[in-house]
Amino acid sequence: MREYVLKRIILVVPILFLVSVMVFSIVRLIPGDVVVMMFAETGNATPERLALFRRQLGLDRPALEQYAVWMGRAVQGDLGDSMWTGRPALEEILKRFPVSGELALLAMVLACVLALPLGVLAAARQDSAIDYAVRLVSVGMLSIPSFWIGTMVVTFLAIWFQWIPPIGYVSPLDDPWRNVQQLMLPALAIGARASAAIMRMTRSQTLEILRQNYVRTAWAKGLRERVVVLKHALKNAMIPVITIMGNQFGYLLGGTVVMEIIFSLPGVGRLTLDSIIQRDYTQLQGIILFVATISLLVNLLVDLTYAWFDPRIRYQ
Amino acid sequence: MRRRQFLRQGVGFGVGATLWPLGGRAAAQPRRGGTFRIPIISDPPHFDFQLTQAYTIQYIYALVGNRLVKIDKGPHIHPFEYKVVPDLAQSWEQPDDRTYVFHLRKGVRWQHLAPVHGREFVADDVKFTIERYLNPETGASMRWLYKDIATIETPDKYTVRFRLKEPSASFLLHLAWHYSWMMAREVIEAHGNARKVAVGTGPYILESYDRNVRAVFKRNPDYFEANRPSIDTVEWLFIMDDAARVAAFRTAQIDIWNSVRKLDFDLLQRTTKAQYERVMDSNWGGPIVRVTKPPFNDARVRRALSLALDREAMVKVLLRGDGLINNPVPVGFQTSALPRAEAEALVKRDVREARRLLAEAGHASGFKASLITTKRYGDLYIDAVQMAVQHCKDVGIELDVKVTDYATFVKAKTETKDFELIWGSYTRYPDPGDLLEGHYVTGGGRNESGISDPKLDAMILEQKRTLDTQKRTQLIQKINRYLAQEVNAIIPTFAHYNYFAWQNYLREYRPHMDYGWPITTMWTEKR
Repeated sequence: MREYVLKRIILVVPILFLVSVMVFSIVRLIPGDVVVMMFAETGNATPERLALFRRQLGLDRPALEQYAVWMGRAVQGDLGDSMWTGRPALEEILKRFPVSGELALLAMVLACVLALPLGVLAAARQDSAIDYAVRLVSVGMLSIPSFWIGTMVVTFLAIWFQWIPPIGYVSPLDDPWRNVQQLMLPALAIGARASAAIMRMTRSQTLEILRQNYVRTAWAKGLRERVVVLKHALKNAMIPVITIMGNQFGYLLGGTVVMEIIFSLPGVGRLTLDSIIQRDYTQLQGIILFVATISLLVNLLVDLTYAWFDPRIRYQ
Repeated sequence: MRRRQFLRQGVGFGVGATLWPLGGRAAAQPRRGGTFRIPIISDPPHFDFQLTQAYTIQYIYALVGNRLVKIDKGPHIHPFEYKVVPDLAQSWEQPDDRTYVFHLRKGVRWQHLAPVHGREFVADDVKFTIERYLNPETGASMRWLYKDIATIETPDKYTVRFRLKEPSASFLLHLAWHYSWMMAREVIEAHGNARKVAVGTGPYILESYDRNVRAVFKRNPDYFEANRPSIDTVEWLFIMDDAARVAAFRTAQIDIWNSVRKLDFDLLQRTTKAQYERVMDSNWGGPIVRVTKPPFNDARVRRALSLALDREAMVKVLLRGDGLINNPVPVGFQTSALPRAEAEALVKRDVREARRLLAEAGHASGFKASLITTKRYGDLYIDAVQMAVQHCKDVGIELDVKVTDYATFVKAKTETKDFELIWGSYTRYPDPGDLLEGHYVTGGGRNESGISDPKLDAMILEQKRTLDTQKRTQLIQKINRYLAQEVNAIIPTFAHYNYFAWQNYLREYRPHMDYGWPITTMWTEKR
């Protein structure tokens, strides 16, 4: 197990190297740079002025040199300074990541609380009214965009109750109640969609397990339904479900930009979008590298949980 | 009526009659305290207003800073009236048409923040600020505001004398404009720039700035206007989404809203009790024509393009009739605009004439051209482009539209100038002369079309040097006609209104097209 974990951690290095090369190259292929964006609204972008700012930011150096300088700092934990604000890129990421992380975590918890019981129930009551209802709800939640749900929630809360979640994010450590008010609704909107995928996977996997011989044996032994389904079937159905949950979580970490905009949450999604618009290479590279690292670690954790669900799995 | 009833009512009336004047007077008196909450869409990249043109930085300095002179704001001022009044300078005179002498208020102090520590504001601060702007090493793209300055003298601690290279009708307005905040020398000497420090002489002190979350400003107890401001705290709240802003305004989580979309404006007026106003904007949008690229190097082709557009239909369809047909000098500059009938006739659609001009220019069967635009400015301009494509087809011009992301758009427009037609929305100016100088003068800082017309250059210079308001208006109108009939480097389209909303409990407030608010005179009843 230890060797397996070590090997997986070592594998992170070449993967991150590839990610860094990709993001460094791709972002520079897009027309425009941060210097041009600085002059966006007022013009007066003389060649001398553009050259001055490019020189100051090191953008006049060869691409390979820029990469080497940036990577040299990155391996020491310094992701460079934002070309737009001049602030350390890592500082901004560390400020925003907890917001996205909290939102993603809350959304996943809500998704699991909703999806797992309903998925199991639908499997246990296959082809019943409950099963059809659950399937209908899951298809509905997959079809409706979460941003639409978010916009409707904000709009109708204001109309019906003259209330909206408080604006101006606060950390749960500073004001837990205000934090819950701010995050609950976007988490529900995002979680609803995530729960649909988990619900469907839980249902299909549980159905498959319920058809296994050992489950039939359990029924034959006279075990209660709750024991058969929850103790014997569900645990064995969880591995693909855990995989889906891991993927969903990774997606949520960087993919909640629309919700962040609707609910005015200063997360990584918005930072990424702003960095792309501003062509803030350093900030963007830093974000991608950071999120890639977290995603790899999350995937490793997911893989390690397999052994808990299925003791037959051995890591070599 | 019984006796007791009569007495009760009589007493009630008497008490009311006694108290009513008191209640009426109390409601009119400014009350100290409260919080003024403003929605903001994006952060400025940093706090150095000379190095960035992000509009949000103007909002910061509208609270923490001052200018030598300022644009007056308040309920008695029309949102598009640019009346210059004293700010840090308590008076000024103009001994000749190239000299301005400003007399500063005494005892004004920089805020008690490092590295200035409450030092007195003096004439040298003005000199330092402008010279930093003009220094090419600074790289300030708004230095063109001060390019007419020949020398800046400070004969004593409270006097600043500007000598200009030539007369400039808009010089005073430039000093009052929102880029002209004062900068403390100590900030630049300590840090090399003002990116991380926002310190001024203004009515509010920046207490905390949480990027993309909230900014809080507290009342400056040492502000040079006694008993001002009235509001204790100003809070910025970052709200990017339109629906969220509507909801925030409805639930009074924000106190004002500038640049409301028409859709939301109509909705709010129907559903929410508040104050509303609409103001014709001098903001303008339309295609810039690269006049150095064939076939647009032929003025007849450009005129044909302009004649092809059906602006009346654009106003009717895109603005639901709530807008005006625009001119090369935007009609939002109400004092220098042509009479409405002439303004519309100048750019009236004429398909036959357009075809005739194209034929004369050797394009009887039309031609193809590319048009670049971006979604950055909203659906209004994308829809306008689509209408324009159809209009141009009617005269034989086939437009190939490329919708790009904003940075690509900016690069093509500002740096490479690699376009035939490029369509966006452009910044508003306080003075039409600035627009003309920037966009139409040969080598002008915003001359993206590449137009170089000596006759036009001469007319623009003449209006700049003309200090008589009436004569200058006539010159600007003459330029407007010339641009529409002969130049067409930037094709005008429509002018839309800017919509404002603010809560009833805000008093002594009226929006203004200049950045900022009447922050030293307004107050709030909300506690």
